[in-house]
Amino acid sequence: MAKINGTLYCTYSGSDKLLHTDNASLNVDVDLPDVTNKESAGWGEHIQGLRNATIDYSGQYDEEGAGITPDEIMAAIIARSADTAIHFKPVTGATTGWYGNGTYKSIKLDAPVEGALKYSGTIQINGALTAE
Amino acid sequence: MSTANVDIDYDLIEGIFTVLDGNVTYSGTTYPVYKSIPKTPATVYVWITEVISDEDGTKEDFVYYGTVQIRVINEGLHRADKKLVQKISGVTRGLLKATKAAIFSVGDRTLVVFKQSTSDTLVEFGANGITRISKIDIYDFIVE
Repeated sequence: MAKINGTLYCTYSGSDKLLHTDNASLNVDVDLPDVTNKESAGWGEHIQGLRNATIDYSGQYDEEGAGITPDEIMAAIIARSADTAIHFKPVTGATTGWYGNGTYKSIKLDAPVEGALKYSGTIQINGALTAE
Repeated sequence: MSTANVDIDYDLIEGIFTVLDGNVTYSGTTYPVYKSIPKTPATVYVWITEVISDEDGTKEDFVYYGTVQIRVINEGLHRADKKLVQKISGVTRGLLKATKAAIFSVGDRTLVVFKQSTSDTLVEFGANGITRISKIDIYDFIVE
């Protein structure tokens, strides 16, 4: 089995990469509403409900570079900017990526004493998530 | 940030040397600062050494974290009198961190964080008694 270096997988807004990240996580979830009843013979049962996806990102705060910087994410949240096409995909190679319309839901700046300023946050996928 | 993996040891040591060289003065005496110890060193001197670093950057760039030691060494004592090395250590600390947020230039690299970490005093004995007393200050750094 071919292992994949996680450095290759990044988050993009359109064709612009979220810059200076040191981690990105794609979380995909489906609600499982409980339908257990007296005929379930003592076993829990559920149906498949709403699906949703989020992308968590974190990195070193830096305003430089051609792409999406923490400042731009902050501005998008403050301005309630429209959704953009969010991709979670490799920088190179033909391995699978995923995309959907996404909204910047949160950003957090951490400024420790005598430590590097870091940022982290979440993008909420608005609608379907599709493989690409 | 650095887009290529590089060695930051030289720039860091050189940056510290530039701050300290000619400025480590205590009680009217200016003590030499060495990047490498000469064959016949002074009796009391400051030595910048032991850079230990790790790369922990982002998906595009390289960032270096680690420690560097500033040692104040006295090779002229026959008793464990630590006062001189302790006082000189106080001078070097003040030069390197004039304020909490102070950082200095490290060549074409960017020094993001430079802070004093742990400190220790080392007394070494030889056949004729005490041969060397070292005040070792360890500093944490982040260089990009």
